[in-house]
Amino acid sequence: MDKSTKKKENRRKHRHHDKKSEAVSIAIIGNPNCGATTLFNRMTGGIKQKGRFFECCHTAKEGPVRAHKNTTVVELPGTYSLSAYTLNDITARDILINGKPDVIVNIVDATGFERSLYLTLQLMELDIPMVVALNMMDEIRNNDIDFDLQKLEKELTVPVIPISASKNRGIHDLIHYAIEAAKYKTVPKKIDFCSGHVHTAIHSIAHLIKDDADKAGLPLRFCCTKIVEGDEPVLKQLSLKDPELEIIDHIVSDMEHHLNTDREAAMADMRYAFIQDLASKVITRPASTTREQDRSLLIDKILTHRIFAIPIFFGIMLLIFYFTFDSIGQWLSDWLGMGIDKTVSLIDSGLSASGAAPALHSLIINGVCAGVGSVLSFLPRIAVLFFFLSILEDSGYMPRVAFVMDKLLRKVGLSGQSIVPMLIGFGCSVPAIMATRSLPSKRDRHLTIALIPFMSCSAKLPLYAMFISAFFENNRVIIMAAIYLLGIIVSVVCALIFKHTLYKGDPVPFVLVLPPYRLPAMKSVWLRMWENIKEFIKKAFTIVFIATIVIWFLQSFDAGMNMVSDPDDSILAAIGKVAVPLFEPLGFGDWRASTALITGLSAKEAVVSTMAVLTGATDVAALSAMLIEIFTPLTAFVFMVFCLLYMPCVATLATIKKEMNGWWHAILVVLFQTTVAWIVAFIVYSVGGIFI
Amino acid sequence: MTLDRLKPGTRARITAVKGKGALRRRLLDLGLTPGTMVMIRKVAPLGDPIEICLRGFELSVRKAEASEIEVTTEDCSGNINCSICPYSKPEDKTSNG
Repeated sequence: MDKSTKKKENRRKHRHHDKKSEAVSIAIIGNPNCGATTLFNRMTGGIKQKGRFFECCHTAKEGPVRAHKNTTVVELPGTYSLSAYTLNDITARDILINGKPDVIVNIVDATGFERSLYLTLQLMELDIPMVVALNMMDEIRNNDIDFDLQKLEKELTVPVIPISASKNRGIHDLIHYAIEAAKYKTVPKKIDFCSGHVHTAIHSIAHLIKDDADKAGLPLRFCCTKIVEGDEPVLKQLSLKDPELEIIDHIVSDMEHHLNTDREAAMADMRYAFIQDLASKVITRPASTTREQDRSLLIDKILTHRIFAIPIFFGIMLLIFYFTFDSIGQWLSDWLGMGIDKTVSLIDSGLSASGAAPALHSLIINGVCAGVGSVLSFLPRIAVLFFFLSILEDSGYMPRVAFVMDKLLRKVGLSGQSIVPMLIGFGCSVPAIMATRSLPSKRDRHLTIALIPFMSCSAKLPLYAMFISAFFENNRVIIMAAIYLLGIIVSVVCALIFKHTLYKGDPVPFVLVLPPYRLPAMKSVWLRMWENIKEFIKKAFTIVFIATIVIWFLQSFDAGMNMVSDPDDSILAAIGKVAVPLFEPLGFGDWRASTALITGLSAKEAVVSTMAVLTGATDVAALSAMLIEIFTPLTAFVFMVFCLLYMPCVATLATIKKEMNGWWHAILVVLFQTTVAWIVAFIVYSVGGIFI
Repeated sequence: MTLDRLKPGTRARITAVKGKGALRRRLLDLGLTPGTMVMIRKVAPLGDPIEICLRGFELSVRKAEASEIEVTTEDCSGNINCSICPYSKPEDKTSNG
């Protein structure tokens, strides 16, 4: 099955190279929260693959279009304008201009028509075939709002296709029109949305820079409006000469003088004036707000209430953790754990019956089954956690959290927008770090990235659960809450220290659109959850699997390649013992603990699998019994604290390196976090030692 | 008058967006152009960011940013066709000097 799909993919790639003219690449772009992801999932069925846009940016998703050979679609990060404000904006702009997709599908939120169309007008300047997907048409119809689509199409000179991504309506037509537009290269006509002095300025600049734009391979109209706006990157790319720059300055100041405003305001004003005019021609509303907007206002009355907002936020987070760790997550985990135990004992008796060699028997049962099995049994908790985080993300609640918490976060030197990546960090640091791309300032981004790994990620769950079941069965909730709170407290303290040292800087602007609340499309939630489940299973059978085999091998043999009866004589013990002095002051000087910490760098789940292999425990009860021999309750807690805070796994490190542009930053983050982990663990151990 | 001084529930018309650089660009891109009607929706629980409503959507800005936005609170009820979330009609445009 897997092989055949791979073959198919290879074949497709080859065809892609052979008949390049037939292949169509579609780029979806629109405002944040306008349904682009849902549309992408509808078009691809949720399948993602690496593609031609993938190298330049890993926040752009790419996948094959269902039922259309040689057609791929890429979803660009959401943006309000092609001016470079956040990293997401820059990425979207780069891909459109340098990646040259065959056709742009501009997804427009029909309920936020004016704001959405501001981007549309800029996209039309790019000289790329384009279709407009007018989304949320179900809401429009529900509210009896009349859209004159024909008039809109005529005014914009591009096909306008009404769709409802969440209800899966109009997607087929959209794909059809997009492919047609790409085939016949129907570029939007130049519409004159500007008049008077702005028009004159654009016209004069166009004459002046035509050759330069051709040479730089940039669309002329786009260059002109960006020059009027004073956009630095475009000016740089065009590499204009001094006389030209002087003339441009003259043209622009002339325009500013006549309009009695400045260049940036002039362009924005022109575009919005055109849009308002267009909106009044094509839209007839029976009421000023839609039912969904009214509902949103009502919900906001509670969720961003002056007094209740903050308690509600903490309540929601507590509820999510309760579902993850206790009720739902617990039941599902228990069931799966039972299934795994049954399977392992079946394999065990099977191996004994067939008379397999003792080494092989030990490898399979004590190595692979113990390691991978112990990690896999935590799958349900991770699924539950991601399910709720996806719902939070898709419902529109996250921006409200940023709104409510902004002032609090600013006190510690962060912005309200940092809280969204931080919350995602409870699931997994990798997507969380990528989510920082929507933060406008580099200072905030770097600070947020450095702190995200302190938000205990779901991969550390198995570890906590393992120790809690061994030591703190009666205080499960308290210990779990203590660990999560400690992560938050440490990040707050670190943020405060950074604020007064490394990242001084001014408070950065906070401009955030609050989209209406929407019922999350179950398909999107399911897809995102499934993606994470897949990632987890993949990790269990690749990194964790290999790690367990290596660990089993290292602990079963000595330097002379003889199988040892006592793991204390093994190669691994020798390696682990080197690291022991480092952890002795923290109370867990056992070589098995230090070895587990080292293997945990590949993936945090590997800490559990390593402990399972090293203690030779094949089920949870046996593992608990073994742990009690190695740790005391205090050192167990210190060990959990250290695992919570110490350097992130390789996948996170690679992401940090990519997002912070260089190993230097990544190494600093590693040193910083490991130092913090050691210090905090030492404090906990020392203070705990006094009381106990 | 600047936007940060208005009480929740008040409507006003933007007369100028001061400040400079990326932030100003962002505000203009989101439609806070001169002549646009805005309404103060609410103030965040801890007193800082404010929520404003313009062009049919909700936007959150800090008071520091709002203080860069100059507004007039003329009585404009006659011009507005929207009771909850006002935005200026095309004929209301007053930006060209």
